[in-house]
Amino acid sequence: MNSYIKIVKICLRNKMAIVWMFLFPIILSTLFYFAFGSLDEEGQLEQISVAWAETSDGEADVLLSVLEELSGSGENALLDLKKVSGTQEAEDLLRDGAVDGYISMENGSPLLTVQESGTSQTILRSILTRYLQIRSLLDAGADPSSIQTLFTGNSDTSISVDNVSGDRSVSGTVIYFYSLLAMVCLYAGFLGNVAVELRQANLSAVGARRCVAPQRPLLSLLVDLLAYLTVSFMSVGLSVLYMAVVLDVDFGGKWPMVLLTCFCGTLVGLLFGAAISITNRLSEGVKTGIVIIVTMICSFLAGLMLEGISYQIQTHCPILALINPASRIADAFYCLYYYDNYGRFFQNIGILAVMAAVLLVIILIFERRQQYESI
Amino acid sequence: MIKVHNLVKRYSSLIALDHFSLEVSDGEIFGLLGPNGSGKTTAINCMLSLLTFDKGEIFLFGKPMSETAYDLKRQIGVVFQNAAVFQELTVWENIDYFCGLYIRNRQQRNEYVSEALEFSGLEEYRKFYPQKLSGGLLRRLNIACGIAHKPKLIFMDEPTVAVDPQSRNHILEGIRRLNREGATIVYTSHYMEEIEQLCSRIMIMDKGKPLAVGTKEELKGMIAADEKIRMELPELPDGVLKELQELPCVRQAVFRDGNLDVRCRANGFGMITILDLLKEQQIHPGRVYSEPPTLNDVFLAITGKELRD
Repeated sequence: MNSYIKIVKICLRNKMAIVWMFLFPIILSTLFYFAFGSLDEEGQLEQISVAWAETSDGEADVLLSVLEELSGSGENALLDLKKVSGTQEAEDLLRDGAVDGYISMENGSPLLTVQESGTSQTILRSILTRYLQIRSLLDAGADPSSIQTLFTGNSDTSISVDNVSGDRSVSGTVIYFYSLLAMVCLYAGFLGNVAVELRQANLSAVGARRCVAPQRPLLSLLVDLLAYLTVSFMSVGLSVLYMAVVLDVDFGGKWPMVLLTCFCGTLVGLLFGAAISITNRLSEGVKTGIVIIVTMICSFLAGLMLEGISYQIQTHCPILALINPASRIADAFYCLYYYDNYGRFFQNIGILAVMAAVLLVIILIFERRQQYESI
Repeated sequence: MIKVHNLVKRYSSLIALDHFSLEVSDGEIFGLLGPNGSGKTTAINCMLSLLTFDKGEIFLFGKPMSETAYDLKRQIGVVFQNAAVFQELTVWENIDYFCGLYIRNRQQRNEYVSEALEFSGLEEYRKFYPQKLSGGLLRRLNIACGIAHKPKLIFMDEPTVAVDPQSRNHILEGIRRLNREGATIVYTSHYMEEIEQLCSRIMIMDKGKPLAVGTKEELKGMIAADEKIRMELPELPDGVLKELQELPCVRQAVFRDGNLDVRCRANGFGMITILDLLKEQQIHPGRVYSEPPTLNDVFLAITGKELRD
């Protein structure tokens, strides 16, 4: 217990550890917040106001039914459709800025009139273009009922996602924060590195003094790792707390599972650093460099710097995604945020647990064989 | 207390210990002297089971020493050449931590830590962090961490390097006190006067081999060291200086700045012969100094004068 408390104190008084494990994630997540925070808002389309100039053209009924479908889902509707008696009234609305454009029929074809170019106007044009393409299909003998389904996405071929939490607007930016947390978890590797260094007689005077003490190496190693794990877990926990409370990052509200993910991720990070340190006789700087490089590569592949990369890796090289601890940690957080059931989440936790077990076995084997030919 | 027999330790093609043998009795302060790279620290590290070795046997307290000999390790203290302390722990916490590796009982440990603080004169620095300590205080903390658990056998590897005379004196007094209280000490140092003052027996080693072992008197008796004589003279004619240089007992004679410095061959009755010659020449010296051979002379005579790494 004395050793455990002292090692925790050593970590918490180490300025470098405080900066990199406690402050750096907070600073980086704050930067993420300001850099990516507006992306979700930018991604949300505002309702497009469009006027429909009533006409007696028979062709118009089909188009009108499509437009009504697109404006018929309340607040989330794509279009805010205003029916007016004729093109003159529609023109007035457009001039007053009450609508982004108006649609009228001319010689049996829809005509879109806009006053300026912009996203809304582009979308309106896309709708009409799509309508015209489908009308061509109908002319060629296609099923008329397919028009609506192709627009509204109710067809059998539309993409569906199982078990998605129903009452949450899905954010595309949370993966950055989850990847950042994965990186913080793997930062525990630094402490794993230090834990071994301070035990090795050939790397530090303190290590030599500890080696001559009547301590069973495996037991004292486990006490050390437990102490370093405590501090690492505190740093990840603090990062989660900051993100959740200050930056309003959504973790899905399943806090025990969030903490379990933090614990497993930190454990893998810590044991990874310890394994790197114990399995070779490289200098301290080289070992630290290896931990940094591997952590950054894993975090990059998990989507820390490029959101789509994790999807690409998952698609084209699933084995790499499977063995990348940062991907598994980030995905576990994402599962808690995105899914209502825990199937995929526990799959991630299971993989992390296997990684931790393998690393621990490697560490214990090397610790048992630890002998020094030179100091 | 310590018995090392035919120890061989190789670093690739370099032989660090070449059939090294050593015996240290209970209650001794045993000095290990040797030039840089002579194998002193390697020998200590092998005795502590910090290093593997190629051949030989090591017995401590009559039992074979190994890295799992926890009962033996419990009775050993080590003061390393480099300060082996945590920079993030205070003086008290450092001693408490290292003492805690040997003593589980908290109350007993607190007593031992307090005694170690008193022993090393660090009571008023108990809340200081190591980086705030001077070199001397840091050395004393290093010693306190090594001896707080009251070991019966203490290895001290150059514990006084780069400390001021006051701290050195304090440390040497402390070592004598530890010895009086029953600890056997193996001490290495480059400071000959320390070894001479402290150690009951001394081993001079070089190139991994023990070259001579004995008390300081025995060691001095082993070599024919020159006697150095200095005489203050108002003047010395060149002819007389030449006569002096030609005396059979004189190895070298130099007159400079009113001082005659003569190196006489050992057991050559140099002082009497020189004084007789000067008396014949009606030259009367002022103050006369004679310096018998020191441990340093013995060391240089045994290990040679060539520079080492």
